[in-house]
Amino acid sequence: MLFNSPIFLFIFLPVTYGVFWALRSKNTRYAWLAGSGYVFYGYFKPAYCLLMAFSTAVSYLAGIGFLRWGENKRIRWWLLVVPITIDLCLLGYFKYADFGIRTINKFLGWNGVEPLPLLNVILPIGISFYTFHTISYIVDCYIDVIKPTRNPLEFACYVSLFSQLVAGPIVRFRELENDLENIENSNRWSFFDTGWSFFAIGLIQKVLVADTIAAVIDPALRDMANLSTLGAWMCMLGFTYQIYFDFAGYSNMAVGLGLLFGFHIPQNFNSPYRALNPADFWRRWHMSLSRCFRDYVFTPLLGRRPSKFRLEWVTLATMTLCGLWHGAAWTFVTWGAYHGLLLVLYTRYTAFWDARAAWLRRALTFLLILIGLTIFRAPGWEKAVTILSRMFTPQGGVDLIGMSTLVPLLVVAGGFAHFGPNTFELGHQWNPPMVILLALLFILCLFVIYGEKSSPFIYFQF
Amino acid sequence: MIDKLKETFATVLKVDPVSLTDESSPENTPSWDSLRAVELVTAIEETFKVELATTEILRMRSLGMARDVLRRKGVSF
Repeated sequence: MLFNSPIFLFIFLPVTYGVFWALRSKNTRYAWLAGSGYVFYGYFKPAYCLLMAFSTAVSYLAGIGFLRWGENKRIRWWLLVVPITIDLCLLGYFKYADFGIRTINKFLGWNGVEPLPLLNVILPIGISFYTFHTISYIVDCYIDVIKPTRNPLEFACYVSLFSQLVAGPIVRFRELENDLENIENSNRWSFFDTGWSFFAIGLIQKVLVADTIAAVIDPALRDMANLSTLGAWMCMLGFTYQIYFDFAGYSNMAVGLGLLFGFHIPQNFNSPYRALNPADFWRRWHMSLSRCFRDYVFTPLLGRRPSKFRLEWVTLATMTLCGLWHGAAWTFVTWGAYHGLLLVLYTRYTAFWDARAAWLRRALTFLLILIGLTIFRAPGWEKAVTILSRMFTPQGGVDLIGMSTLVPLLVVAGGFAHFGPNTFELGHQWNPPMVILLALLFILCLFVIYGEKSSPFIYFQF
Repeated sequence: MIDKLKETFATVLKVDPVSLTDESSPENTPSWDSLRAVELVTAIEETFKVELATTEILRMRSLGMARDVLRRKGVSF
């Protein structure tokens, strides 16, 4: 089920919301939210609910194990390794098995050997996200940052919370622990206005900005070999804003939905296109993922007192893994490695970079992000090379059909992305004209949604 | 009160020690990035003459949590 679909907006959300606030006790609220999370998730494909239930059960039992045998170092170690291995095996099979086989087949093909058959596994939506939820829970139990919960309903509610289930933000248990513990005392009206404001702004960002840009650039990118240099740049500039408003829009909707149910979901985007350097960018873009990679990959790999060489190597490895997490394709791996390289270079030449004017650093950082996203967006290596060569060597061809729609849209999108406040900088205490404007734009979104097939969020594929 | 731990954090993070509290963390302290976190570990080990295990480094996600880790290792403030 998509947040921007009629079934979610007109049936699922009103029913879930109404019943949740009619219930009074902690456990009934946990059970209701957990159950509604499974309905939300099962709407994509019911069978995948079993996978999420299994992953939830394994992590919950590991938590119980920590409570019972927490003093025994050896058992503790196994309680960390076994569930994480199970989670990673599931993720590996469902997300990366065919990617691995395709890669092996390339090598076999070069040597004239018969290719291996593909497994044709269908990727369960959101598996990368809830796997991170469960793994972060286990690691945090292991390092004593959280006390595992004994209540299976509370844990099931955390993993299957529909607001952040399929495309993040990646909310760690300790970030929601307080809200979960006090679920029966949460006040319906405390964050009602702010919640709706976040949700409405997110929907507007997705439907009116991201989807409109996509409607212009997607047809052009399907025929990228014929794009002129100007057309190629406009397409990639469009995609740079599309992915931001798509994912930031989704995250804002998730934050808003969380508030409507009494949960404080952390900020996921802090105006990333205002970043002054690549390191600053990763502190602002998909912040919940950056934090997870920092805490669960980068820091453990780094160890104590790393050499400069180790620091650079670990940065590169972490970002390459981050790329692989995004998708089972070499373009994503390359995109991750590219960002790793940018971080390493920035670390080496910080003094030189930081001595430049702020506007220049911002512009160059944005350009580097745009180039990275070109690799990210391309359906394969050959296409990535095609569009990059179209961008960087002057060529004739089709400029772009729909340029007159795209240019004003990019001006508005760019204005907000680079100079406007982000949703966490807004007070959400609107005066009447702003309430009317938001309501009108929200209604316009509903008309668009009702009239067309809901377009999925880009990050759903991960 | 500015204690030795706060001073260590303030020196590495290049901030005023008065601005630091036990709730200070990478999330609310802009200069506390992953590279500074590495420097923090080294500075803490040298200042308090302790060796930190990886799990302890992972646990130090705020100044207060670092204090807790050091207390468990017998460091008094």
